[in-house]
Amino acid sequence: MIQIKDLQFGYQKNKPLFKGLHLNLTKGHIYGLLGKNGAGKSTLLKNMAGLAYPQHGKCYFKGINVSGRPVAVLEDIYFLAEELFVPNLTPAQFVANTAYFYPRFNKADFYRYLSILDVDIDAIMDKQSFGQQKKAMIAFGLAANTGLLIMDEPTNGLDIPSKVQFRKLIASVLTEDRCIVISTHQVRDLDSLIDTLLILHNGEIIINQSIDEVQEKILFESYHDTQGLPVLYEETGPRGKNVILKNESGEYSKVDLELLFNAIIIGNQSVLQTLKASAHE
Amino acid sequence: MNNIFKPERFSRLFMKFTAEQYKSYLLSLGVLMGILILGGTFMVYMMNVHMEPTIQMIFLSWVVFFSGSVFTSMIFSPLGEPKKAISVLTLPATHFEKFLVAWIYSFVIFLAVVIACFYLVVLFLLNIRHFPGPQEEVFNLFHNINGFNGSVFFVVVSLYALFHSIAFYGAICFKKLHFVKTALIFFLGIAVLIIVNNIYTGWLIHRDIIQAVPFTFLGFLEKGQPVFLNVISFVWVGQLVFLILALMLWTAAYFRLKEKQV
Repeated sequence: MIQIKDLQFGYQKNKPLFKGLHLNLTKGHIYGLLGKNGAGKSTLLKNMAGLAYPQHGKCYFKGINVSGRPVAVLEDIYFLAEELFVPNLTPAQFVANTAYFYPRFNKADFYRYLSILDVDIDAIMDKQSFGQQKKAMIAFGLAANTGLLIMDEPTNGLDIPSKVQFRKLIASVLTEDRCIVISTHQVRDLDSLIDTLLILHNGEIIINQSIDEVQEKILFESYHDTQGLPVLYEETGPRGKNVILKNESGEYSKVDLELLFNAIIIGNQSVLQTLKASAHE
Repeated sequence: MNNIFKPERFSRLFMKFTAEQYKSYLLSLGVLMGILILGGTFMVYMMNVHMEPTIQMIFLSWVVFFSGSVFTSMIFSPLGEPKKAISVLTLPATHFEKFLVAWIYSFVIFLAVVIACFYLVVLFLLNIRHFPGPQEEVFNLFHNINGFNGSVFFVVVSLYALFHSIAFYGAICFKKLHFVKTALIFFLGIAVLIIVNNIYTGWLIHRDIIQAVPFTFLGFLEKGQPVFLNVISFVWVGQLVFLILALMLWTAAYFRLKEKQV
């Protein structure tokens, strides 16, 4: 669905954020894009949506170059930015003026999502709190039924019950024809939500693996004492040591995204090499 | 064609733009009316200005050119703020449709509304104080002006086209302080153009040139006496140059919009 070939982009010519970045995203998946602050997550998403034009290389959506923002692409992409703009309208007025532009927009779904997220349909959006504004636009983005849904830090500003509802909604709207990309630095918000992990670091996608693959290759456990264990990475927590082990037993454990992210960002080569090795090695 | 212009999509975009902006535009219109009434009343009562047709014409020109340039320079201000720019640029409509909506609002609708407001204010000003002598009349917008090729309306529209295109281009180019930056560059550009034009025409006719805006008139000193050449049959050249410049700047603004990134 999304093909990025040899992407080079930077806000300053001599300081490229990406140099020769390649990435393929396929439909039917929820991708979690992780990276440190300033790693270029938002910039990468903007390149995917045609909001930033590559200095070199191309970004394609369903085979169409997104640079130039052709309508055929815009109709099938919804981009939820981290900082939102909402007009001085109620959600009902907004949808009456904007739904037309998204051919598969479903108004019934929109009102249902608003109700689930506890957003008042008659309240003027720009008079609402940031969290309420965000939820209204999340509902709009989900109801637009676009092939690609890009969300940049969608959980920023949401309270805990709303985050729970958000995760349920995202999981419920994924279809075989849809691709969802969620970028965040709040790693825990994506727990049990994403099915594929993307980690952006030093201008490269250093991890692009399904959660199943990650589980096949490494184990996440907690121990008081790790002596004699094939530990790839460990962090001391309040309940002992949280560790990443090479999965030699074929068991499955719940992926601790935060632990894995920390291991990769500090440059732990053992974890990286284990993940990059093919499953049968 | 669908990738450039689709009438239904354009009309929906126009309605969306109207629904989202009408409150702020009505507020701005109220402010403009207030300034015109206050300023006009001040002129009539405090400065004893008779609202003759010539004064009305100058009044109209200033109102259209100044308020139009300010309004136009803000028409693309959302593109200067990333969060607003994202909502504008990702909306599924073509750049041409987005450009056209902004152009129609800042050129066609603005001119129609401001001229209508101007006449209301002039009618008010002509009736609040009666000066001795015959009652002044409201000037005819379609009256031909001496020394110009066409009616007041044509002259105002062609000159406004130039001011509008400059402000329109500046509105897309700059992220903040659109009007101030555009005006600064405009005046610097005009100054350079006048200097270059006067050096060039002085070199052509070997006379001491009187400073003039290019494509308006030629003035020089002949035996110490000023001589002005303003051949009416060639006035259209200046107007044509302004319109061509406006077309070029509108085109450049369209391509700037297409290239806009966040």
